[in-house]
Amino acid sequence: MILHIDMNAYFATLEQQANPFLQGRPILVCGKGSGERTVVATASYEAKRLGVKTGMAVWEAKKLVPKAMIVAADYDKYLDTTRRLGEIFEHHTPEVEFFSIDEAFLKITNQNPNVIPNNPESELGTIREAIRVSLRIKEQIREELGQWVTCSIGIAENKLLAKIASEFKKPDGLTLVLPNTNVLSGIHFGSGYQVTHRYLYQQIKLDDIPGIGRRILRRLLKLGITTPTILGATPLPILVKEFGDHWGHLLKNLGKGIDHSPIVRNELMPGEKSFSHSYTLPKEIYTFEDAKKVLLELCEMVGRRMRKKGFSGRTIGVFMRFTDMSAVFERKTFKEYTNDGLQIYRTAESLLYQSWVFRKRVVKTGPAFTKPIRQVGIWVTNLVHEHNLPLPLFEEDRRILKAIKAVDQINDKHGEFTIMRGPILAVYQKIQKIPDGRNRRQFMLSSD
Amino acid sequence: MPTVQIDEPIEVEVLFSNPHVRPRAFVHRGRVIEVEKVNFIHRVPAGDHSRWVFSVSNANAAYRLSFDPTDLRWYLVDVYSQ
Repeated sequence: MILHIDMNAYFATLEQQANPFLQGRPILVCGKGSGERTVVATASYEAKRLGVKTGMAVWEAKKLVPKAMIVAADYDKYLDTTRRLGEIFEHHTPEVEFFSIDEAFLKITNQNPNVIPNNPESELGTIREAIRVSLRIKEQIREELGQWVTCSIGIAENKLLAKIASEFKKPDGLTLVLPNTNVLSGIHFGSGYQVTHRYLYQQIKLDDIPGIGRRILRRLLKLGITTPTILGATPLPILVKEFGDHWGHLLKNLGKGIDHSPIVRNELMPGEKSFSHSYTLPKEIYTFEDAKKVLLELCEMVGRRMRKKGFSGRTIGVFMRFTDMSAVFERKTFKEYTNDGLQIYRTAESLLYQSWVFRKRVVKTGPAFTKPIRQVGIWVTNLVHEHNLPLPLFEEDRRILKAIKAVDQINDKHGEFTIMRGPILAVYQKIQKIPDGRNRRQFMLSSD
Repeated sequence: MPTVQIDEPIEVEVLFSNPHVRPRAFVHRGRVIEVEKVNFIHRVPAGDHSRWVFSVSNANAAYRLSFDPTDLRWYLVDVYSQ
């Protein structure tokens, strides 16, 4: 059986656990600065009940809940707590896959040595074991992290159904999905929900199924497929004709609750494919000079993470989002690989110069953008491990490598940004280390 | 925001009861502040080691105390009061 454990309003409940004066109050956990420009990383259940959603702009959330308290995100706290959660989970099974900083899949097998494969009694034993482990994990989380910290757990035969089930009751839910009602009679447990796969699919919407986003949903609705049950009953050729072979088969499986994907333990995860960092500015910026300072720090962060993991990349991308939510993305692939923050920055800077939104409109403060900027981001892909790269040919390049290595060693010993490039000093206090949500293993690294 | 950043060294009375470490009171600017509850403990990376952060509270305020195991010093990080 698979367990999907989803921490309830993770960042917000941790802040409420740490500070009892925040308990029972609507709080919004946001990036550093906590200005109106940032977005809500997590809202407490008290705020969620009043309509606040994750990702909502702070000004929008404050409009809905004027009394909501803004709390600056403390990512070190969240990363360390996730590490502790990992220890709790691994106490029960080695088969643990972190799906994100606040969700994990666990595979639970029957501990009885006399278990017989495909035997109904043995399968019942596995289900009982999964329930026992789930209840124990809930207890351990309360004991080790505090009474305010809760999770919702879905138990099912595969990852897809377990994930849907964990959403079924929040907060502090426990939902067991079984193939049919015959098995249900043999299972009894506390206040959890027991549902059949069929019933679960009757209760959810199409876009509650992981993998069905807005675009796919729109196309499914156009085909007259309005519910998960109808999706499951739609003949495969119709889906393949509309979505192609890969997506057609995938959607058919999603509609039938079929998922063969295994648990991938974090240490077995395939290598990195990209490194990225973005930052939503507390106040909009207008000038290229201001944007460059933020960009330089982001590039240094990306370069540092790449070096820590021993990677270099040769495709560099940069994006800027404006206050009207339009954005520009630029990228370029080079012959040479790099993981030097300054080199990444120089490339990003030149890409931005070429960008269609940048106009050499000289105002008092220098060149300016046509629209105010609210978010800046950088990414590096096309990676290769450093072991596969030759040493630089020229003495000057080797000296730069040496200097970067020395800076890294100082920062390893004394903490990030103990030593940094001069221009970063100006923005260092304003920018926070924010783990990249797209990098599933980031938190594991940070706990090294 | 009712959080006030302090970042000052403090003297702390601590109870070591294996495996827990519980701050019971601390002295800040000559004033003794009793700790009623230890609400949360976490680690913060600090170069090649970690610092421990204790989120504690009493009836008046919530405090964050930081302990650096390399030099055995305690700091008052910030105070939250309503």
